[in-house]
Amino acid sequence: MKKKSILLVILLCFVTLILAQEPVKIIFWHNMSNPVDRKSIEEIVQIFNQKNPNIEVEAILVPATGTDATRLMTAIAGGTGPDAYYLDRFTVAQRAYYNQLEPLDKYLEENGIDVELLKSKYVDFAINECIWDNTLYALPWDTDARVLFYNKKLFREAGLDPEKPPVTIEELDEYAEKLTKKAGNRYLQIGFVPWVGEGWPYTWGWTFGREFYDYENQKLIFAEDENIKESFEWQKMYADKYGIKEMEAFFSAFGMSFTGSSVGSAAPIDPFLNGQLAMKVDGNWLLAQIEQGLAPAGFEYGMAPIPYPEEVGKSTTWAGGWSIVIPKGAKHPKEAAKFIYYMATEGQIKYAEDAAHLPTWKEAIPVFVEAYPKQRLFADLLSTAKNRPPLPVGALLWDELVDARNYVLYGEKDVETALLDAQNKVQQELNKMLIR
Amino acid sequence: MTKKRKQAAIGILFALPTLLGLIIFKIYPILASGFYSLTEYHITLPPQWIGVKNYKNLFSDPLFIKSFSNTLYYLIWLVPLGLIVGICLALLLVKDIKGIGFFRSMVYLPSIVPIYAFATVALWFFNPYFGLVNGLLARVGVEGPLWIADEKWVKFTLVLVAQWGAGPTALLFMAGMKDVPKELYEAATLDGANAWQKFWKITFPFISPITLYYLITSAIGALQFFDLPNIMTGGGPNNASLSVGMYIYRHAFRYTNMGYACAMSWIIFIISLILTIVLLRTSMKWVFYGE
Repeated sequence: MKKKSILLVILLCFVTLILAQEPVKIIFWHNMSNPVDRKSIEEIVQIFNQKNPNIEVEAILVPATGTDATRLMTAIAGGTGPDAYYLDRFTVAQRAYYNQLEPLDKYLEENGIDVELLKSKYVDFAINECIWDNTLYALPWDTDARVLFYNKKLFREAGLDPEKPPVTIEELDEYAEKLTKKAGNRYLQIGFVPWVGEGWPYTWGWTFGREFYDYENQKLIFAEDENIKESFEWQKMYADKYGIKEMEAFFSAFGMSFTGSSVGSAAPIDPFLNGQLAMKVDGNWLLAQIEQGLAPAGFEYGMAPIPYPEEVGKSTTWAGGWSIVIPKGAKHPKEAAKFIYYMATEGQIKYAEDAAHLPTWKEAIPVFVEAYPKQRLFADLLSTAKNRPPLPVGALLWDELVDARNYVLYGEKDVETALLDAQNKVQQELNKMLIR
Repeated sequence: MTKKRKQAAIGILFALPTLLGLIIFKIYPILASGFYSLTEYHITLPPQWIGVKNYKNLFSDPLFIKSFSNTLYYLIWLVPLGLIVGICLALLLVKDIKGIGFFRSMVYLPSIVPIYAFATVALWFFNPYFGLVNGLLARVGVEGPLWIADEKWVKFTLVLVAQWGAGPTALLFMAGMKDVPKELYEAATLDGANAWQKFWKITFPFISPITLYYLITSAIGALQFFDLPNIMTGGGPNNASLSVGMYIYRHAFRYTNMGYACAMSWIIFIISLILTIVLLRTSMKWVFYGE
């Protein structure tokens, strides 16, 4: 009888122990639907779960684009948000300003992590994008970089040396002309179009050597900058020289608009990979796409830093990427912070190896370069890469710059007015936020 | 008396789910959006009262003006074109020929295809170089336009594509035409009326209530035009196909500028309301409800 009761007590203890050890469940929303990226993320989550038996992370694929986070917004407003969320890094400031994120530094400290030391282990621009109002709201995940891609075969056909890509803007214009073929009114091949691919207003503004935002005075300054105006004039020159109508016809056949944006939601066919656009500015992910077989067999391409104006004297590029945050109202922020810490440190090494994404954690970069020697150029650019100003009006500023460029290209506004209109509109929004 | 009251209570009880649904999910959101349109509101921060500033800003916002004029274009083209296509299809479908059931289902079929699939197919139809439309035009020696890639053609292309969904309208009109007594046509034939006179004097009065219904619903639909341009063009090229519906979405969910988005919604709401009232008022003159 006694034995039995002792057994019962032991059993009870066991049950309570198991119940007490019920792991904390963390919901992690991400949007990497590409099978390679997704698999890697799920494996990292698995490893974390094995190492931390008291936490169970569940990764859920939730489609969203960079600036459109409708699901997250409604989930936060309704109090049903996830514990960790995969967020486009340049929108961290915006989300933080609108009170949609939990301060991450506080919860990292609760886990006994030295935040200042941690910050120093990331590439500067990446960690800077995660900070708003002196508070850390995110840890950086991957990044990217932009360079000039060119088709070596088309270079040879045009009598250009395939090992000598253009270095300056002047050379670029000259090569572009040589690489363009026309039959009657119809382009068979175009050498270069500045705004296709990753040739955004930011790309050329920085390439022409200037900044868009004055951090000290908290003012947007691009509309008064002669060099940035010149970068727009230079793009306008392409529209005039090659003809909007003719370029529109050329690009629409690939399912994209002449301004380079895809028409509709069907993914456009890449005229560069198709061998009909000889050069374009694009990101390192294009390399992964070529390796994955999106280019025809025997596709010969080269990569070079983005050409720059002679008087600027050096090439520049910019980087974006993703981050992981804790949305407002998360049920287990402390455990979520532990998970995010793991993802953004050790997890990055595995992700860089698996998915060929550029890491932001400094320790992961050598591992990445070793695994993908071809990406060395991009990794080298990271130390000098620019980043979009981390402002709560980031998405609006981006859209306004693109709209301003389109006004200029279509000849609806001159450069001066287009830039000034955009700057005034965004500054007005920004001022509202700075006052608070 | 008590029995009557009891019955009333039971009746209300039965209607309660619908009433509550109407109040919670329709009336409350409408009133709330009216309130938010007078504030600066970003969902996760408390709204700040700013009066009619959102409305004032709208009229100096070039993109709102552009999207508004695009929407008017959609309204002016979608409603009458849909009416003509619907009635013409109905005139064909009402005939009692062999196998008409097959044709009726064929006409209805496109409307049950998910809009996304259907828009993607339409994109390929109107592709300037490889598309079916320009391919056929090239056969007869016409060089087709660039359709959705051309600022000047994009809106018209979308209006054309929207006619794919004419099936339900056509079936409605057809049902109306079936109700016309055969004797009227016979009498008209004896009197020597031609086909147009028969349509205008006999068929049209009978389908005029359906026409009124069509005009009201399709005008509201055109003012809210969203799915086709959003999937096919994303508002481009150069915002030439941006509708107010899409611009509302952009402000609400890209910039989380809910107050501004609500103000735009209210403008569309008020225009819909005025249009509906005008149509209903004038309908006494031209709608025939039978003797």
